[in-house]
Amino acid sequence: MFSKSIIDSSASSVKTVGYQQVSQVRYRRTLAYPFYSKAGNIPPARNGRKQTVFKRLMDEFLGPKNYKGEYYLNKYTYPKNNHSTNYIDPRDERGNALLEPLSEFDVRETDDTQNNRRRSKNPLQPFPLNSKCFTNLQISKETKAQIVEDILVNQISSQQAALKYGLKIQRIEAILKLQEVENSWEQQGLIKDDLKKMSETMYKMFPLFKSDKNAENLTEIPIPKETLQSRFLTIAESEPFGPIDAAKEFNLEPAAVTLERLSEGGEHSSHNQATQKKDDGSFIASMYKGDKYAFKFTPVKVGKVGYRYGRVFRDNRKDRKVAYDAAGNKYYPID
Amino acid sequence: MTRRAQNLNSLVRGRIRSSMNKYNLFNLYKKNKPNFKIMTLYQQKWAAKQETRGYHGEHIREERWQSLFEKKLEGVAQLDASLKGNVPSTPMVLQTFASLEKRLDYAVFRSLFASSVRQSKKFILNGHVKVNGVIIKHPGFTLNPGDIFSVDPERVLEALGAKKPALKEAYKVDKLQVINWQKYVKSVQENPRKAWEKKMEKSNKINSLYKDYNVEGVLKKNESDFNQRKTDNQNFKLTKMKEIQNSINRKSILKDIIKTIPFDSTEKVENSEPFKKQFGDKLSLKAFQIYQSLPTKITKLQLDKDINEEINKFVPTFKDGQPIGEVYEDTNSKKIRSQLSELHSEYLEKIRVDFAGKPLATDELIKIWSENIKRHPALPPFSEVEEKGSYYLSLPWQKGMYGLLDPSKSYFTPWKPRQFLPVFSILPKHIEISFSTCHAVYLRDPVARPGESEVISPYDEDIHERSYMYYIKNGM
Repeated sequence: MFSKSIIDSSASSVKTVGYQQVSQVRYRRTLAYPFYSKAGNIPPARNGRKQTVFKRLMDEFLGPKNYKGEYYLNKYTYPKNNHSTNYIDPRDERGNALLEPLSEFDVRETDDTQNNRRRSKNPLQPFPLNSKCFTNLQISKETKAQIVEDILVNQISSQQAALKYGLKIQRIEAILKLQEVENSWEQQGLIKDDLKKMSETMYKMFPLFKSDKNAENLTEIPIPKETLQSRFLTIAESEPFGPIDAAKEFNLEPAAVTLERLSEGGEHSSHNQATQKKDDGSFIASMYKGDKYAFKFTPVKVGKVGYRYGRVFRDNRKDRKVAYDAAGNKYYPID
Repeated sequence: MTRRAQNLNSLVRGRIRSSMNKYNLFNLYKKNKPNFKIMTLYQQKWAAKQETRGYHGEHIREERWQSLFEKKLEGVAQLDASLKGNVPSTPMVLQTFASLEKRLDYAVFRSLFASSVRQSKKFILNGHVKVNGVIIKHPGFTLNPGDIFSVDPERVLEALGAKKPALKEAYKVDKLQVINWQKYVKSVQENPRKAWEKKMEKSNKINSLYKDYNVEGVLKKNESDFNQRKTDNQNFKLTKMKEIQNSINRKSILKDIIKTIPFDSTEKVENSEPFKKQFGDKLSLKAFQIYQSLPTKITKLQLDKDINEEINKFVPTFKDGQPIGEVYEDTNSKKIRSQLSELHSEYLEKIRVDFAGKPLATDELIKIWSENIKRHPALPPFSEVEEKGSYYLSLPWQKGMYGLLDPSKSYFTPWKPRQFLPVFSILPKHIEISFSTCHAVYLRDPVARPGESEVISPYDEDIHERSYMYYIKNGM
């Protein structure tokens, strides 16, 4: 396909100017006309103003403004309030994004076939050009409350909750964390009217998660780096060779082990009780009368801290390591 | 350093940016794929790189981005894929710009706490963003899985809310509103029924036009506004009922009974039929009995004054425990008195039942509605307003200046969503968000799985593929 396109384009990249003069066109600027607009389509200017063609096309798409300056007839202006998305669908509308025609004399194609074709696109797909990108689903307030109760009151582990609700463990842990913040904010009265209205608007804008329909896949493991490349191996023709042999060849652990390891993290996981925090040997020295500070001692290896004499120290390199201290200040660690 | 922002939302160039701007909306709406068929391979890679970089890390310089670029793309395998069969392919190339999503400025934008990446960067630099409770002032801060970050709610409300109008703009809108309101009040006063019908027609039209839309000021059924109006009507009904009940006593009932039959009617009253209109089927019999036991001289009285005098003799007014004036003390009068008392209590009950059962008549509704509509005092001239900094406004749908209910806030108050917010609101899969506290948890780096990629991008695989090809060879 590529070779073919090279031949196709060889002629068009050179432009003849004048009689014999040939000039190389460095770049061709194609103006971004709407794909649905026919050549020569120049809509009237808004209120008889002096406007460029592109601005006119934009105003045609946005529709009329009301006295508050809102594009009140455009179907994308306002959010939905029934837990559904309102993403653009230009391929089906072909530039007509108004809720109702501006006047009865407006020429609009309103044949049934077109109406039936409406919203053929996945409603969760926000960008018309990218069919591999979808919005997430919102977890309802009731489900969140249920999850919190299950874990904090009924004491079930996050793994069990993940299975019950069809959500990944990290998401369940995150819900618990955020719920804690929400509760404390509510007690302190920090959620004011405007904030409440905003969160309510956002809540109504996204579809809700249903565990029986939209359960997340809990068997996902990261693709091992090694498997992204091919490796060649000479074996006898009669020798059996399956996935396990391939994993051995790549020095990979079984997927079940990886999956188990991934589910271990988290405050509320069933592993948490069993595993104790590792003692790294650090301690805070006892203070004596007159001491101003308490000192914490942490064992470190030679070479991990401080400068080593004679070591290359390139501070102008592009991919320099960056770290942040406890106060949020950036520094460059010495590696 | 940030790249200079120059004509980012040019309609002629038509690049898609990571922003909620309305120009960007139109650029996104009219976007067409680059025509790769007429390009050399390098042209294709260059065009793809231009397009994708215009959206992903547009504010980051090319050199900086190339040091952030990771050749290895993150994907996940699903272990149950072999059980399902027919699993779609994993769009790995959509992960080309995944390393940018770890940056704090991107995470803040993706969690919808800022309206563009450049704005989220400003929020971070101005110290409005915390990660794990610590203020981080570095937009390039790399988030780790499990990190919880938050943005100052005021900033989020500013980013997602409508623009705060200047005093002059608010005054202009309100002046127009007040002028139109005065005209409306005039039309209502002239012909309430016509105005009411017009209003109902308009509200029906608007409700059907904005069905399922969250539009400020459009009444929806099952909403608090609707319920409020309902209770208002109920309260009105109750007060009306109390008024009527208070106006009724034994004297008024007796007067009504006497007046039901005209004094000059020669026909003899045979049954309780004439009393049914006022007292209903049940009570009309009692009223008839009272009428029958009344002496004829009373029923034939013509003047109101005379009737009232006679009635006072039947049902006396008491003062200090003593009746005023002459009182009939014969058995018939006593009987009439006791019958009247009975009828009085039962009649009050009947009125209560009637009011509870019967809905408000349209005429009554229109009457209440039109009585409550009053002219608004005219706005002072702008020079005066400018000096004072505010003006009084109270319309049924708006209390206080337009968008400036609380002028100390940096957003439209009371808060309303900015226009075209739904188009750009995409819930990320790698971040869990709590809007009511403006907190979010970074779950993991975005990954690609069969059939989808968690990296939010307006471009599809073939553009990202060429872009990846461009960067994998260090920009060649």
